[in-house]
Amino acid sequence: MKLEFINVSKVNNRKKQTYHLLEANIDFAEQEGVAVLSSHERSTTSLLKLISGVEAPTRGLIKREGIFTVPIGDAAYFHRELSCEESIRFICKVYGQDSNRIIKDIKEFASIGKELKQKFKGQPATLKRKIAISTSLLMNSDVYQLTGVLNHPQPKFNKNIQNRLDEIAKKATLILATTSTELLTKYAQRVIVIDGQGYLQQFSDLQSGIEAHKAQKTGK
Amino acid sequence: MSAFFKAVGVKARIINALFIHALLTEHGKTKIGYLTALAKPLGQIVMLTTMFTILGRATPIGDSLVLFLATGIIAYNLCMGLTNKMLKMNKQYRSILNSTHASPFDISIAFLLSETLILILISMIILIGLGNLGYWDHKIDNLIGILLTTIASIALGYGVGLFNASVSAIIPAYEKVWKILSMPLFLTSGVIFVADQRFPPSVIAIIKYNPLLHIVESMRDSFYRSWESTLFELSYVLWFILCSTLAGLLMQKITQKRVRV
Repeated sequence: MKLEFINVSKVNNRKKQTYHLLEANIDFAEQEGVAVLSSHERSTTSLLKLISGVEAPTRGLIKREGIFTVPIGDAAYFHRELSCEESIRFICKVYGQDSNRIIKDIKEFASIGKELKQKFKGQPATLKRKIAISTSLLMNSDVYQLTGVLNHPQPKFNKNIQNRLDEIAKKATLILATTSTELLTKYAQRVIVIDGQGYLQQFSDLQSGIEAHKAQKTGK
Repeated sequence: MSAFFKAVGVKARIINALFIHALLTEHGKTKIGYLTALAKPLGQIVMLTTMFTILGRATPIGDSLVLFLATGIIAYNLCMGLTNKMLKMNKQYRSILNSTHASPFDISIAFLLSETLILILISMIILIGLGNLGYWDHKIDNLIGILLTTIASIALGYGVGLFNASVSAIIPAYEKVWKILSMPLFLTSGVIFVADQRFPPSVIAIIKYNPLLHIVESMRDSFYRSWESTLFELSYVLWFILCSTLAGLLMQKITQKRVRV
């Protein structure tokens, strides 16, 4: 896996000359947990989209090699009129994954069966989330993106998520765009803080990064 | 070079996934989705034939009114069916554009493939059905002519569709404007008449700017042994296809960021 940002800028408003990201230089390593914190949500989203290749930078270069899949828990690609299985097969095809293996693993991981054959639109919200989390967690990827928190009402499923995240942290890069102290403490080794102008600050210890983010939020 | 082939492989994989997705969602979301796609042109043929019969109008070419209308409607639908489907593609696929590697160009190619497949199958079913019902004798004089007109019609539909999809991403009201524009395009496309038999040269001088008129005339030229189009200009159709496709690709490049918002 290779993921390197060289002088990357992403413009927000050309006329006002505002940036989501300005002259960013970042090098992501394998088996590393990197927290991305910003009081400007769009800067975080922009960085995540640049990482996954959904968007291109305005200036600069991104060197990217490896498999980059959807953020964990993302359900945007699930079509309401298609069955859950059809949408899973679609996203697996987009990212070159073995759909049969993933569907088999989802059934075991999330303890679900016939629900996968039913249309996505008729499913309860908790089940939709369960399927979306399972799909993104079980896809093979070199970089996993975690946004928000991954809590689910079912304790057994939560336990499975924790185990899978532990496995991922040992073999892949984990980008954590979350403020959950529990997740940050467990998985983040480095913190990137993005300020209002789009400049990055990098911290090699978690506590300094969290404090810098807090200071940014309070405007100190 | 291997990086190039790898990139082409990834693009092909994404387009293949989007192609299957488009087939399933555009017509396959209901059990009778594909039947309604077939029912639309059939309904148009039946409705127009009934109207012509009530008004006592004979077919301008050949012996069969049904065949005259079918050749016009099929040529028209091959182009406009694709264009109209592509009009909303960026809006329909916004969530996929926002969360995956797929680009608006990939989606347009997937739409081109899926709609072409459906439109050609429907056209074949109608024409073979009309042949079996005795409306024509299955002997196509100019198979290459029909194939080339089909390709030209689809290419025109893709070029215009690409342009429309990008414009509607910037101006949402454009969808309504296009619906209004479609009506004069249909009325001057020659689906329900043969232009040089019906209108004076001053009117023909205006309506011949409609590329659909050339497509419909070319299709009938290929179908009818006894009739030859005096209006069809291959160079005009090719220029229109080239210009609309280039304009569409340029607009897509300009609006690429906008369609993801």
